[in-house]
Amino acid sequence: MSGPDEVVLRVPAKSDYVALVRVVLAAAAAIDPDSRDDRIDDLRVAVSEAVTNAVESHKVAGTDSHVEVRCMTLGHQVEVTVRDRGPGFDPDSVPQVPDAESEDRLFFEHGLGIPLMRRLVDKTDIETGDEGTLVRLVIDTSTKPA
Amino acid sequence: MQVVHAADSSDEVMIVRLLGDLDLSSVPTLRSTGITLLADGWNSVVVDLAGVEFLDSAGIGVLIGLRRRCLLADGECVLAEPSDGIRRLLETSEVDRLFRVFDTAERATSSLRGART
Repeated sequence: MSGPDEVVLRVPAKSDYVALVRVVLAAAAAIDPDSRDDRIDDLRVAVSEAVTNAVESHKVAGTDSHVEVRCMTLGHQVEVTVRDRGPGFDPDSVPQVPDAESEDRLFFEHGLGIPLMRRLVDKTDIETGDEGTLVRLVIDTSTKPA
Repeated sequence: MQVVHAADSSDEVMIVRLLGDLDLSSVPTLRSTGITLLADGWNSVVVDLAGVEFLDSAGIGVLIGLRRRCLLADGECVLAEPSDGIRRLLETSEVDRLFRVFDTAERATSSLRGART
């Protein structure tokens, strides 16, 4: 039995490359003939969120290191990891998105990325520390969205 | 992403048409467009999403900021013509509860006519 297909990208931590990553990964995931368009869309957004956070963390750190993205596909399952060399963050300190009915919600322009990732894919793991952050996204692209 | 804007026939509502991907790379363009429009007195804004092929939280953030600025200027900002995929994302992110979303730009524009102060 063959192992997973793997695609590896190293991209500059610049906003212009976020689109490149999501296009390549969505195309890789869509090779599975049973993949659903809506799940590929979900993956595309979740990857964009992870890479956007990586780009912004490199900006904060002032580093010109590349962002590393790996995509492994096996059957209907797609696993994407995004590694940055930013300063890391405290996952417990990420502010909660205010309720949509709250007046505060219109002042919440940032911070929706991680909650959105968690809603869009089946599993989201985040390892973060002083040497950077690793985000792991897992999705079965053949199943209906939750 | 391209941003094209023009006043409607009543000269009361500004229609902002977005073409392409609304993500981190396009945030500065849309944000500065919104700030300029508000500075010029346009506080009733329709954001026409028909040409938007991709949207993520960076794009959602700038849309939220635009609506907040319109409200602070006693106006309103509504969304129009999202594709099925974009509409689903608006629902998943609960942004559809922050904005009125219309099927067509015409209906969106009509909803704002007469509201300008």
